[in-house]
Amino acid sequence: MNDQNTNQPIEPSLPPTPTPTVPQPIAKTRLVDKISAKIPPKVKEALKKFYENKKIFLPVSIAFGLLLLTLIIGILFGSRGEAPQTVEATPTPKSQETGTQESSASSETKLEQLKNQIEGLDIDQKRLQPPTVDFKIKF
Amino acid sequence: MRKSALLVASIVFLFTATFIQAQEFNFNKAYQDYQFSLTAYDQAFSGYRASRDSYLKNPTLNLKEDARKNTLAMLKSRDQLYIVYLTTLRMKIVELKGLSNDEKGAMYTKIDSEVDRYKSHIESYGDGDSLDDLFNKSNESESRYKSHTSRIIYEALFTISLGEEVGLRQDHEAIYTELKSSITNPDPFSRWFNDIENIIKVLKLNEEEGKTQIQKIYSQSYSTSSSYATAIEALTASLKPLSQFNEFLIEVTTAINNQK
Repeated sequence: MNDQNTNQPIEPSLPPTPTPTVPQPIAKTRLVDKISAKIPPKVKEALKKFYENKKIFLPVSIAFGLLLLTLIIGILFGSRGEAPQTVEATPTPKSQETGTQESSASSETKLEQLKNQIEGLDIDQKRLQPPTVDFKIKF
Repeated sequence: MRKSALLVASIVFLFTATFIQAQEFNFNKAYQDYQFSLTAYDQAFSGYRASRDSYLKNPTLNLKEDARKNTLAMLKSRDQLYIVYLTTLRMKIVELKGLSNDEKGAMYTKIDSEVDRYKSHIESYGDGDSLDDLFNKSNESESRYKSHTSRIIYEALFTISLGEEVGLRQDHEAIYTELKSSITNPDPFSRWFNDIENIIKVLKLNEEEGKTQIQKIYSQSYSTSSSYATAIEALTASLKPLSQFNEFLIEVTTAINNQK
């Protein structure tokens, strides 16, 4: 390491490179300025007027905030009408026989459900019988 | 300031509206509406009876006016009850899977025209109708109920039961087809399948018998109640074969599992 350093010709001393002394907030301001410069003056004027008119600015910004909040809540908690997805372990390859066993097992479950439905059948539709109404109202 | 307040109000309305999920109009909602209308009618009928009794005990002009107003309210409530009840039957039919689109469509046409008739009848009541006018309009409703509404109601009730039963038969048939395709050795299944197919035939015959009987409801030679009862008897006769169909399929499933 030292040898390498000794073999290299000594370069004339260069003026010290100025270290970036610009503080971060100023850099940000420059960025803001850059963006601001890109906005057409008409739009800038309109935005300024909008900001200065607190009677309009406050309700609109509050409403916009609420709308944004609703959207975020909706995205986070809204149900999409889909069954919740569960992470399942990688299934082992199934043989043909297990497939048919599964189908007959599901048939058994379905048949059990259908049995309950048959038992619960109300052919007379007692719940939906017409209302009792008295038509004889003359007095 | 007013404009901004209006703006805020409308945005808040939109905000709250997103949280309120539109309540779907289905059979359960229709049935709730029917229960509500039934209570409303019962209350209107009690009001009518109380004011009628008061007037009959003490026939003053004031009490007659009270009785007239309560009779009008009760009659309107009665028509509304039939509108909601018929709509409930319609919604039940909508949700049945055992009926074809043609069968459903035929029933909707009958129910819808009857609902329209009750809607226009409600509009025929005037706030200034005399008691005699109200009695006449009530008689109109009574004869309409006997000649049309009751027949449509009982046909709809039969159709609902038929749809439920056919739906169950079709579900069993789907499982039967699946099981039939999964067997490799036909013994003893081919013989068992003959018995199952005989049951399917009986079920279909009963369904057709019920359909024939219910159409007699519109004939002058048969009473509405007896035609409905006979049609329902045909469907009731299917309950045992339907249970047997289910048991046989369970047996077939078990036998297939044991063979493996």
